[in-house]
Amino acid sequence: MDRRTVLGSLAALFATASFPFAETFRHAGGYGAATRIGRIYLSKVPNEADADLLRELIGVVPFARESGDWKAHFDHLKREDFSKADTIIVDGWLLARCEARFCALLTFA
Amino acid sequence: MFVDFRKLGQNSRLDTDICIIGAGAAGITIACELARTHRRVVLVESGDFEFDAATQALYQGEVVGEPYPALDTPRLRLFGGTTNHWAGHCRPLDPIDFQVRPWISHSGWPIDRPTLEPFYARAQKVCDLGPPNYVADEWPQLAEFLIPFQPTRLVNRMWQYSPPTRFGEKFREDLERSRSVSVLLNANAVEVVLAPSGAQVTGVRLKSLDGKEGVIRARQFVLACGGIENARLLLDSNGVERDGVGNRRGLVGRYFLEHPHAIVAYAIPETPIARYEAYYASVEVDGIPIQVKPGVSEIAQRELKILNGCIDLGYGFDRSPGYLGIYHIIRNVRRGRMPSDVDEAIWRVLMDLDGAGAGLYRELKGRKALWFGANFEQAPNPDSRVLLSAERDALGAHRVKLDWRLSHIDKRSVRVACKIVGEELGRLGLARMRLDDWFLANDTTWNDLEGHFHHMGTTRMSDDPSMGVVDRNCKVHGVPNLYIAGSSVFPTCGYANATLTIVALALRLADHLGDRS
Ligand SMILES: Cc1cc2nc3c(=O)[nH]c(=O)nc-3n(C[C@H](O)[C@H](O)[C@H](O)COP(=O)(O)OP(=O)(O)OC[C@H]3O[C@@H](n4cnc5c(N)ncnc54)[C@H](O)[C@@H]3O)c2cc1C
Repeated sequence: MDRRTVLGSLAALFATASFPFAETFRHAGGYGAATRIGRIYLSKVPNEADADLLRELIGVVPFARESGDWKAHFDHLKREDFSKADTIIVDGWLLARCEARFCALLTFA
Repeated sequence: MFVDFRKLGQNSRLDTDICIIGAGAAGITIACELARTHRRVVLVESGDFEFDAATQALYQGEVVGEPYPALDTPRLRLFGGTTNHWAGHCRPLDPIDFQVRPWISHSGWPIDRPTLEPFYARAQKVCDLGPPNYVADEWPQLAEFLIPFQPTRLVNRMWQYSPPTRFGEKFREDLERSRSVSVLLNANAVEVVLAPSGAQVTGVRLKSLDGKEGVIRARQFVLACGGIENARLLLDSNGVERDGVGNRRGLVGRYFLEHPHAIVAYAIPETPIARYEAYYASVEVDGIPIQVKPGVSEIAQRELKILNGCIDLGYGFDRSPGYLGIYHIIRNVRRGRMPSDVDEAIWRVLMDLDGAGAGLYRELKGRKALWFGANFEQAPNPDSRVLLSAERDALGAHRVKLDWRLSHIDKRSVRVACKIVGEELGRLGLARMRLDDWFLANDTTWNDLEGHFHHMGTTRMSDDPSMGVVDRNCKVHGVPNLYIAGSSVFPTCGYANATLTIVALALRLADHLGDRS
């Protein structure tokens, strides 16, 4: 799966209720809010402004390759981040690091 | 026995063993305990059995510093005191509240929690509460309502609700029948009179609103007028010592503490949260209403160097800036007027269209958001204080001036705690938190700040006279026959509502006085 396909499928997945973070960002105001959060995140953490790096950090690359269970994967990442307090406040929202990175990735789609 | 001071002769002189000023939770508790020792006691009360506007007006005062409701609204000046309208939420202080915590200046009590344990157990009965157990996990019936937080981060703190006990009603008959206790109604203490040496109290001057005056003499005196009024009476009793009684170190009135409260965040539930009603409402266990709140664990407090506290959970509408703008306009329009700051409200909506849209959508769908509030201790702060105002009341006494101040650590502690709660709710997949914009600012400003009507700290307890007004037995340093009862003696205040600790300390003081007189 190439980079464009991964990003495109992430954006498409975002629109479906089956995507683990979709509910979260619908609360925050939908896709527009998610990409805004992504932009703010990147302005706070500029050294992550690289789609490949972000995909790696949230495990999208190996994951897409194995086409496994997205929801379980992200739920696990999210829980880990929250337990370790690896969180960031963006636009007031308290996000697990992986969620903020996911939003940042959306800005490249 | 009840006596109306107005019916006594002019310039009457009364003599007794122990004189208690103020018949609220503290004063009534001490009087009832002493009734069993057959000491002669006079309980002096400003009010009568019913509310009277002129008496209540004696509580008026000035507010400077942080905003605070008019001082004659929360406190009640009649027999039974403020318990005539308290809400009855009860919880003891935590063991850590008594300890010296190096990251909190002026922290530490001279007594510890085990010292108060037997008195807390007795206070439960006075306040008509259940068993003296506040460990939520030890109540099996609560288990289904509890959120499984990581115990190293958050602990479920529980409250019991008193009916609420109206001290005046509950103990009126006991005091009526008592042969050793006389309750003097409509008698206002206007001055604590010191011997010329300043080394002991010789009497308390009394006045009624219709012009009667008198003096009461006793071997021991207890001030139990409430957390603000105790300081006022000491400061205004300056006939012998220029700065007032017990105030050689200038500490009386300083370190005023409240439990700062404001809504600080909201969250969108990700799963139905109705089963957790113990947090946002209360549940009844064996007939006792119980509420639970997430509190910061001791481990986290020490590690993060923050104050002790909990986060209140409620159910309500969204708090995104955009939605709050819409809400503000709608609420005013429903009342038939356009808000004066409509421009600002519209601006907030425009600047946060996502938040406004999402909030409106949820409102129309009837989906409520969770909101979070501060239920925290305040750090002791010598500049937060009760002073005398230049104005005088109908009896000629100086009114009070309240200068409530908060410090950096107060807001930071709530912010850190709130974030932990958000992280835990996120980890458990229960809710998504958004913190209010003002709350994220690293300063000392609060939006819509309120207190909990707990007035504490103004005659703080310390074994060191340079650090406190009273010693561990609530005796005023340097004045061996003067004691203070009530929350004014708290050197730190924890996050728990004050009354259970006030009653526990009052029972302890009654035992002390009973042994001594
Ligand atoms: C709306 C509200 C809700 C509350 N809810 C809770 C709660 O849920 N849980 C909780 O723990 N606490 C609560 N409190 C606080 C609680 O009411 C007080 O902690 C408690 O009443 C304090 O007891 P006290 O005896 O020290 O003072 P008070 O109850 O205020 O009694 C002081 C007495 O002294 C008398 N007095 C004052 N000055 C003089 C004078 N110069 N001469 C003679 N008499 C005088 C007054 O008339 C009064 O009777 C609440 C308070 C308010 C206002």
